[in-house]
Amino acid sequence: MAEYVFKMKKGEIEIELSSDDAEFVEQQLAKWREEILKKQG
Amino acid sequence: MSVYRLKITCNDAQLEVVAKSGRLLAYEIDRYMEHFLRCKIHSDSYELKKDNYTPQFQQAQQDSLQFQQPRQYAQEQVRYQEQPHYQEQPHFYEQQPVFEQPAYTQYTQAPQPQVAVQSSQAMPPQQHYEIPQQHYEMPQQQNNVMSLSEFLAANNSNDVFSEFIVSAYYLKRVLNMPSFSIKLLNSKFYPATGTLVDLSIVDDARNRGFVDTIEEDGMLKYTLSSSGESYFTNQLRG
Repeated sequence: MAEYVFKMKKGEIEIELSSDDAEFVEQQLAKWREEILKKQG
Repeated sequence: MSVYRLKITCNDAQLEVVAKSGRLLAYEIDRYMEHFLRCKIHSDSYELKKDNYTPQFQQAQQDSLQFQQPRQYAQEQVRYQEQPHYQEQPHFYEQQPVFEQPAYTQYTQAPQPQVAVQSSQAMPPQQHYEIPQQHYEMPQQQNNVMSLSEFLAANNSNDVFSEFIVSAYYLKRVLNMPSFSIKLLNSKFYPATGTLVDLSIVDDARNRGFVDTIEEDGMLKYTLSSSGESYFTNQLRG
């Protein structure tokens, strides 16, 4: 079974998400992307 | 079932959440994501929001602080004076009294080792005793007992049945075993012939009156009957 790992690091904090649920990881990545873009805007 | 894993690392502390529900993990991610987006890079004094503190995160922080601090528990364990059973024992590590050394050194003649001299004089001259070498010769084992293979070769045993009768005679008259079990017989029979005696052969010999059955110590054993001996003498003896 495939496992999807996504890791973000900013400063001293690091968040790592890993799951074998591809759809869940995809939704989280999309959500993070929107929030990051919203923060920059 | 899917497994969802979230790992948050901050300095020396690390929080890892493993869940089987993606919805629960998404909630946790949202909580930490807010701080993740707000924190500044190269910030030396950043703190997490108070409501983001979870017991696991606090425990991880405490554990990381314990590694940084000197270990105090090691000193608490060695409470030498407060343990009564140690007080009863002598103080091995007590400081030894220091004797004041004299200002001068007086050399005195050491006593002669009279005891050693007297004892050496009293000792008789050493005598070298030579232990006579006794040559033990192992008695030669006079193994004149014929093996079963030799006994079979010396007699007329053409098939397994005749080999069984010859073997039973061998056990009874050569090895002086009046009765035998199948296991005992096969322990001699197999090395000599390469085959095993099964119950069908034993039953055949018993039906023909060559073998009798007896019970010893609750076990069924066999013995060569007089008819069996006659059969061997008349038909199988070489």
